[in-house]
Amino acid sequence: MAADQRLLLVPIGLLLVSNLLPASSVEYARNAIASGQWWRLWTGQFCHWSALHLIGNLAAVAGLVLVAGKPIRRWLVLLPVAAPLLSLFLMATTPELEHYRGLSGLVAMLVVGAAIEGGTVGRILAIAWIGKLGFDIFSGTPSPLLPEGIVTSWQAHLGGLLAGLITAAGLRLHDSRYRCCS
Amino acid sequence: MIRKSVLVLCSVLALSGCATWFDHNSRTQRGTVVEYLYPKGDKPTLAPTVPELRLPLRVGIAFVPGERFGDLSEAERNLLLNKVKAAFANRPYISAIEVIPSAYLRAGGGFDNLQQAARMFNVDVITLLSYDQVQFNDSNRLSLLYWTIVGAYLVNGDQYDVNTLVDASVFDVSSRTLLFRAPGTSQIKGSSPLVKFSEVSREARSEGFRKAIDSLIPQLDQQLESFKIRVKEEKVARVVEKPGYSGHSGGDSGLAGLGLIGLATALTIARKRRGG
Repeated sequence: MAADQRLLLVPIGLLLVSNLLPASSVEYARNAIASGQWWRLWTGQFCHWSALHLIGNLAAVAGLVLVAGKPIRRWLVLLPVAAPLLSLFLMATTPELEHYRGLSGLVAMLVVGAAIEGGTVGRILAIAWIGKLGFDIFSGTPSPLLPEGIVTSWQAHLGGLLAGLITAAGLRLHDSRYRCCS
Repeated sequence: MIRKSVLVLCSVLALSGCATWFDHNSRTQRGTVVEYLYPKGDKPTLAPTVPELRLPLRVGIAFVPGERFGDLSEAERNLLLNKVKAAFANRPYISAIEVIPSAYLRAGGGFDNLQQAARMFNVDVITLLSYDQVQFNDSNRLSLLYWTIVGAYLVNGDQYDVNTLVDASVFDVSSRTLLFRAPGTSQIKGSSPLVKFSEVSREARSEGFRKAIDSLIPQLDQQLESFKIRVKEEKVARVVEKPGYSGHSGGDSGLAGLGLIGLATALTIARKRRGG
């Protein structure tokens, strides 16, 4: 098994653990994180409000993997690194957000991955995604995949896009150094 | 001989009087929510209403107007109120906490006065801090040394016992409903020489308030948490989110997002098939 394949077990394990443990103890909960339950920085991005919510996000990940192909693997490997950064981004920018669950912030990061690794289709998808994000910010359209009373956090999507851009810059730097040295 | 006896008796009475000139009565200062909100024996209305809380809340905090000559100064009140404010300011469901100075509340003003202040400070909920402080003064055996005059400056012959209760009652202003309450208490004991007693005991009274507020904050936090549970389970209040606010969010791509990804996936598969 290649190294990147082995590393893929980390986000898969995190996804399993976050969705099998009681959600109240793994969700992103602002006060709980502030009082020292730091694991929620990771698990909050992987746990979900309902099975439908989980299925929706997994379908999005599967679609992006198909669009971007094998090169998206290293993006998937970096999800556990991006998850706490995204949670910290939400803590800093969205003080009114008390509880959060969902993978879509990280899906937004993978959309950037698809734009870079997925050719023309990936780039068109990313542009359409950014348009959708703008629409969400101004309209606040509720998602039918979420239970009643839970609204979509466009801030998480914005944070995910930013995490994606940072990841892209990091990977580009890494690749250029690798090429230069080899 | 009789003259001498009278002189000695007068001197003894005068000197022993030193110990009794001092007023040993207890001292009380009080500001109660009931007297403020229901003056002249007004009865609380019993109409069953479920308060509507619009999140994030704007909260006001004030001391109940009490005795005009209570020795808790406005500056000290402000400090104490700001201490409570700081403890709750970072709650995501609270958008702002406004400290309401005593001058804006009228003794016996009732809910009308409370609503005026709420409108003025643009708050939905007001936390009223009522207080009841009793100071007991006693002389101990060392006070006998006050007879020496010097003793009144050097010997801790007087002791005080300051008991303070601060009670926070949180009211929804529009429905005039008490949401929850929490108490904070303190007891300060000490002694001092006669000449310093007034100053030292005044400081003890202020310290009593500070300690009562310190004990109030965790209690208020606990009551707030149990109120949140009661809202969920017993529906004691209806929670409405103001536009743009949600305490609970989900990371979800939505149908539009899934549709976009689905379309991109279909295009990719079609291109691969054509290419293959």
